Amino acid sequence: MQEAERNRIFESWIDAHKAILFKVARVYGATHSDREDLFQEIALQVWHSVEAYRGDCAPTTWIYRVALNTALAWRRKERRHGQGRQDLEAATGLLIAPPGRDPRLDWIYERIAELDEANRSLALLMLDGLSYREMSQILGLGESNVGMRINRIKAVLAAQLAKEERDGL
Amino acid sequence: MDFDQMLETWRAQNTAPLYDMNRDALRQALQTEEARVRGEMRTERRGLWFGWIFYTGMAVWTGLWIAITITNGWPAIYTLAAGVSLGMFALGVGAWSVSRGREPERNFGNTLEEEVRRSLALVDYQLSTTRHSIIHVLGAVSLVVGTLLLSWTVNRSQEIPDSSGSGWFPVLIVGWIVLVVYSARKQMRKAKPKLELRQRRLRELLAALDAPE
Repeated sequence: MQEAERNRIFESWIDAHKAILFKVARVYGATHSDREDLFQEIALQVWHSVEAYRGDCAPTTWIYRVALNTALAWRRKERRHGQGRQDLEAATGLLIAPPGRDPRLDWIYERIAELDEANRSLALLMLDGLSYREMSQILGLGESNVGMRINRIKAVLAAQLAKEERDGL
Repeated sequence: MDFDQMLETWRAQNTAPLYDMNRDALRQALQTEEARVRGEMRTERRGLWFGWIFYTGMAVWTGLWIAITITNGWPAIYTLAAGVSLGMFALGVGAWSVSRGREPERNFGNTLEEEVRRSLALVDYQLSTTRHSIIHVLGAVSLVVGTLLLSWTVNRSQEIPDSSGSGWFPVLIVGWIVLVVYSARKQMRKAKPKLELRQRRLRELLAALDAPE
């Protein structure tokens, strides 16, 4: 594949699916600089993956796979992220948070961050409205296993919502 | 906020994204990555050419030397020594090929579970010190032993006085082996805690993926 063609596909994927990259970076990055670092790493891996894409699945499924696999591998990198780095100093300006974000969104991300790494991926896919079959294709779990886990995650989130309702969110 | 409102809030990110992206910074990162990949490929190609030319050259030279010793009817010890050094070079080529090709290529289409299993297999391999060290030691030692044996054969058959003294050969070989084993072990000791931490996390993740809730 020509480099220009690869870059063209990459640009179109990023334009269409950047929200996936933002969400994965937000879910797995503890600080803003971590999220920028992870976002860049995912974007580079997506660029690398363009050549390997054969159209066997939808680009959305492909990008989720690459993004989640990269995020999990990135988190395993000896915890260099978010440790001993000053957030503002390390920021590269790759991601710019717009002002006036809905605080309820931060609450949702905080709740997802409380789940274990595998369930975090599932929560993200569930909230994005993917079917059990699609989740199964991305994570490599059986559909029934996905169903059971999703029910459990929904129950946890519902309990958190009820608690916050009582406390006045 | 109820569950439906939560979903609505979440999906609003698709129309009003969580972040704005600095395209120039991303483009710059991409260019750096492209340059890195090109540089790595260049180095890889050079290394490959150097290895093949060097080992093949030495093997051809040794083969020629064996032919000369047989044609001239020189003592069998020269032919034998040259044959052993040819075997050493072949061993070196094998060890060199194995050490270059041990990392399986990443398949971007892997599911999360497959990717975790692949990473775990890689870490398990890196932690298997014996296999890891043996390949390096074989590669380094076979090259030195092969070269020393060949130079000894050439010198003796041509009656060239051996300035270093052939008595030093075993000492040199043993010293080289000790050095290679020591540095391989030192490197391994340094990498081991990080690899073990990664192995533990991967196993935990795999267990979390495998366990039905």
